[in-house]
Amino acid sequence: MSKKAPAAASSLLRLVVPAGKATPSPPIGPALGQRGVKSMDFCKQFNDRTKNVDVGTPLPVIITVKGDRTFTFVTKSPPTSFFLKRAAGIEKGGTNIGKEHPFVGKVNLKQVYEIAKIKQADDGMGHLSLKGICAGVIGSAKSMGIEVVA
Amino acid sequence: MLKSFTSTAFSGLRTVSQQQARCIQVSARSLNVKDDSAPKAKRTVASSAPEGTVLKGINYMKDGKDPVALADDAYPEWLWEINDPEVRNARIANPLDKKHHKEARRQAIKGENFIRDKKT
Repeated sequence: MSKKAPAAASSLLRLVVPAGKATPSPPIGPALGQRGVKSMDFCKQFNDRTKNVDVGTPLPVIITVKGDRTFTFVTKSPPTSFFLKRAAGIEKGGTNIGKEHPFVGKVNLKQVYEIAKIKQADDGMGHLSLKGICAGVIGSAKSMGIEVVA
Repeated sequence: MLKSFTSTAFSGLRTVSQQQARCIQVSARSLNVKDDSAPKAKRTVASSAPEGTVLKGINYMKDGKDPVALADDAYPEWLWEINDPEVRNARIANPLDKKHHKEARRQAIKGENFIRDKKT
């Protein structure tokens, strides 16, 4: 993520890429090109690794580019907001959030639980309890204007 | 305070009192006390998704299917409490709970910020 990284050290790059649909110039091309990586290489590998995922599902990727311009990447589970919008059946989250404004969608606790289970499998979540992750999902829902019901 | 007990004649006593003081410090800090003495009320709310409902939008793999809801009892007890404002308010009202002090601190900070912003 540091754009001023010295040439010898590796740099991290965080992107959200639709599964199976990598390589448009705007998001990926320049970001990788700046670090000397051929975007076609990344896209082929990414699309191959995500071939079991529904096409178009946004997937966060963390790309580590080493000093010699080789790269490795890790794919994570889709963003929580993606799950919540689908579970609530809405296209976009709310624009006005708060007590004075109506909710734009509804999600129940069992869906929250299932979403949390998927998120728990991610690398960065090992230290969190499932209860903690559920609380995080509920927090995301509330900030999107999605009501969490039992 | 602990150093006042330092003396070779009372070295045995010093160790014990230091240990005791340390124990008291530790237990005063662990304010995550959960009060389990009251009988747990039976969960009154039933889930809006009864057993067998398909939980839509969760699956994102090509060869997978959306998970099906299990019976309410199959889910852990805490699931029904994390969205319950009464449970949260009870924790905030309980002065032995960490949440009480966190919330008090938060409100104090908000109050100070409000006053500070009012002045400028």
